[in-house]
Amino acid sequence: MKAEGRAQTQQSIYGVGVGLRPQHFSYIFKHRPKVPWFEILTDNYLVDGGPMLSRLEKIRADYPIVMHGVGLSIGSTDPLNINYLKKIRQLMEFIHPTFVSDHLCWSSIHGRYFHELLPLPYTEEALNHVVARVEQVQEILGTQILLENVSSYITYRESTMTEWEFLTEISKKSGCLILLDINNIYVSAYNHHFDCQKYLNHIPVDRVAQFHMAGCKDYKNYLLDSHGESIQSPVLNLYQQAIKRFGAIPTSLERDNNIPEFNVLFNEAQQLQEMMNECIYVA
Amino acid sequence: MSLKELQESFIKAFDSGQEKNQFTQFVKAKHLLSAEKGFSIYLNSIRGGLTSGLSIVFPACKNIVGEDFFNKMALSYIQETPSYSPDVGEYGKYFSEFIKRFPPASHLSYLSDVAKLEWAWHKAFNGLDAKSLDFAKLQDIDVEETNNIQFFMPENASLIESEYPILHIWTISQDDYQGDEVVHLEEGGEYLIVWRKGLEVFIERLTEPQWQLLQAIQMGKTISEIANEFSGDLTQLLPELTSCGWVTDFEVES
Repeated sequence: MKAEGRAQTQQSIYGVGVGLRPQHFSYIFKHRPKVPWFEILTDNYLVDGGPMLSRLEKIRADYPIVMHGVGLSIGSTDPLNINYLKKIRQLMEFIHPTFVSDHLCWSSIHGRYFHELLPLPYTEEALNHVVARVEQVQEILGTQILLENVSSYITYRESTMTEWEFLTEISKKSGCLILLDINNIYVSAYNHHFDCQKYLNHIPVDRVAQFHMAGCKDYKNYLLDSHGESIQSPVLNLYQQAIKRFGAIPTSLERDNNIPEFNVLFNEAQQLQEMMNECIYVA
Repeated sequence: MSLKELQESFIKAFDSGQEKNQFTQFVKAKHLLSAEKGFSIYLNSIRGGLTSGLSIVFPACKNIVGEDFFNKMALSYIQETPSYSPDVGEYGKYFSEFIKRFPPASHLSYLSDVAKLEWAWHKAFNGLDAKSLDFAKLQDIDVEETNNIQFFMPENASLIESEYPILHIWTISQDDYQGDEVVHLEEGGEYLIVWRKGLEVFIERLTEPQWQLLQAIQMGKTISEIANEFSGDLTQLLPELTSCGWVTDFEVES
């Protein structure tokens, strides 16, 4: 399936959503916070039954959902894992997500999974390989997918293009949209000495459907995409630049470690929402 | 270097655990982030992620041995057990068997069975929802076919047999447990069923006849095969298991 432009969504989403974590289920059921939408970690819900699905169904009744996965391994040279895709499709039929996304990376080879978002070399071979697989995935899932730029700690000698060129070409050639992770751009730019603004300027405005925001950790020699703390101020500045260029793109706040009370995340999401509102107002 | 060669070299590098390896030859060194350092960040992240995944599924084991011991045990497991599923929740499948063979845990003879119990809990939590037995369906069976009836336990259920009082050990090893933390291994072993009804996971003790009958059912034996081998009172026990929710379906084996 090759689709053009923005996705045909199940239910439109606006503003700043929050990553849904099991620690917050009770709070959400009790307080029904005014969050415009939630993003789920797809892989946590690819189960046969039980409380996770039941709670998700309850939340889905009140909020739009986007699905964000980590197990697709789109850049692997293994055949696509059809069983995994079938499970994703089943979950899509269950919750009718607005978007379905995963990462532009590889995480498995010879059937062996590393459960890590490993970067690809930015070569013609990898480009053609990923484009063909994205088309196959979109065909199987019956929807346009979003691919996210990952944070990375290595680059390869063989790369012949920049990350932003690679990401753009994948999106244009395969028809997938881009989930632009602002924190990941910042982390990788620090680790590999490139210019964040140059990255943003190169990505075509009409290919970006969602932003991610998260916290990273400074280890002096490098930054780690830790998802365990509040967003760093340079990342907030970059977010502002991104909104100016791409507009009020739906943004989700991710937190996977040191998960605080829901209110803490809600307030951080509100801060992002205010930044988004201000940029729209100025525009 | 092809993409496949690069990815294959990562497996070898990961298994070697060495920072300098064939994979890092493909990596561009940076001023502050060498190829070896970059690789080690991934190595540690993979190990850390899998260890964290195991500690979520096996919290009682972690509480019993403490964080340091658990992390070392997890690391040894990771070094010898590749993951063959995109679902990290599947990764602990062989952890109980591994613990049995892990020399530093040899003095904790019950630990492997506690891990088995935690794995069963994890499977019940995410397994298929249990149905209720449809008694009306029984009336549709021809009399001559009744001997070929095969009963089924809920698909999310597991049976566990242990020489140790693992339910007691598991109970006092919960994060929120308050009370006497002494368990005497002489309390003896037990037969358990772990299953989920609705949204709640249950761990229940079974009598020996209940255990034997459920085990026969789990092995797929027909009612006539069970009747031939089983010494207990089936007419009393089968309704008992059914009313507990441990027998939830049947079919006639052709």
